[in-house]
Amino acid sequence: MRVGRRGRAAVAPWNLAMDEGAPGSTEPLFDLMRRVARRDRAAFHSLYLRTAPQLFAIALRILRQKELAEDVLQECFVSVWERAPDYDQVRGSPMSWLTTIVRHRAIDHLRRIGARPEGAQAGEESLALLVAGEASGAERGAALADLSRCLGELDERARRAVVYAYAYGYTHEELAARLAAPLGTIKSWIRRSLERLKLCLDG
Amino acid sequence: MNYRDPRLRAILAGEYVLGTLPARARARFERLLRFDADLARLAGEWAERFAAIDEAEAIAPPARVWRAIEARTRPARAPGIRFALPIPRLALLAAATILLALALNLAGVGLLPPPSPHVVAVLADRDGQPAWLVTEDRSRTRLAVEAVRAQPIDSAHAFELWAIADAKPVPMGLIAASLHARESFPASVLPKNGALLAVSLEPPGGSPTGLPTGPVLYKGAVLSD
Repeated sequence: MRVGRRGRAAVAPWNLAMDEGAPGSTEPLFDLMRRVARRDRAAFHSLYLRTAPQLFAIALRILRQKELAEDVLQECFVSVWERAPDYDQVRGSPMSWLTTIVRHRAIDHLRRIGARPEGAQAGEESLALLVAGEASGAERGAALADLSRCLGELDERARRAVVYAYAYGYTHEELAARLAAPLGTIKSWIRRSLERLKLCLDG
Repeated sequence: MNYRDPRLRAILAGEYVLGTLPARARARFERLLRFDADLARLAGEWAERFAAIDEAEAIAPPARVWRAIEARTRPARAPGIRFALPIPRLALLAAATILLALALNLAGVGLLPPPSPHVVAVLADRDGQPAWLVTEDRSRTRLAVEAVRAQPIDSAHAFELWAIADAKPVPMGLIAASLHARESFPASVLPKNGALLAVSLEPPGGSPTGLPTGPVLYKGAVLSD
């Protein structure tokens, strides 16, 4: 099952490092979420310690500024405290549910300010191989290798559109500007790419 | 957007996760997610598919972020009825006793129907723990909603009751969070057997849109007679 695979993958190297000094924090994120839904504040803190570093990196990649990313992370966890009972395994692993919340908050922030803040474009190198469409990532796990292989089957600009949208939260309009393509083309690239990705990854 | 076409549903869920849906389309999609488990599954699958991109990086946020989160989520006292002037508890208790005695007395001489409520629904949280009891009086004209477990809620939120029949939520009204507080509604708002009653977390005045805007925290089916 997908969820199970992701559940194991959530124990990333940084995560193991954190666990060394914090016995008991290996509790599955599913269980922590269930306790957070019951207003368990200790579980809420554990959930934060376990997931905030990865979520902060995601917010930072989209927002490029530390202060903005801190604000978004804060908003995200306040809303997680309220929305935890809404979480359901059907929505994916806790980590990817949290990721969706953070990404949407960060994207909303960009839309509100109507501009992309100046700042270092983080994570460009780690995305370069994905963007280039070269099968890679085997050293980082089977899931990335699969995604990378399937992205590689897309046309170059369509692949860029998908990767940039996910990694940087680009809107259709920003993608149109960055990839020098009409808005309608961008929209159909994304839809077609999603369809092809689904087929490739499920196959 | 056609929400029935399976192909389009999968694409829409993908765009939702990708973050390219315009604000209004995303809000509409999120409302559907609450009631459409299949759509939620599709979105979950997309989140899993893209998750691999995020796994490599982790940057520890500064400690002030957690401090701010902690301060903002600390539970406030559950809002109950607040009196402008402090009224001694004993006086309140005495008043309640007198009222109760009067009610029982009136019931005894047939002026009021005797209290024999009929359970209409038990609303439970995600773990199946009952939290609210919905009863109907014997004359079937009034519904009462009673908290059977204390619900922590801050003053920036309210609980709103919804009747959901044919996947359409209809607002029934706000309900008090304090233990054994009762709210009463005309029984005519009750949907037919098999429908759902649900409680969502909303802004203080209730949902501004007429549809749940916050999470659905409790639900239960309307029981048949």
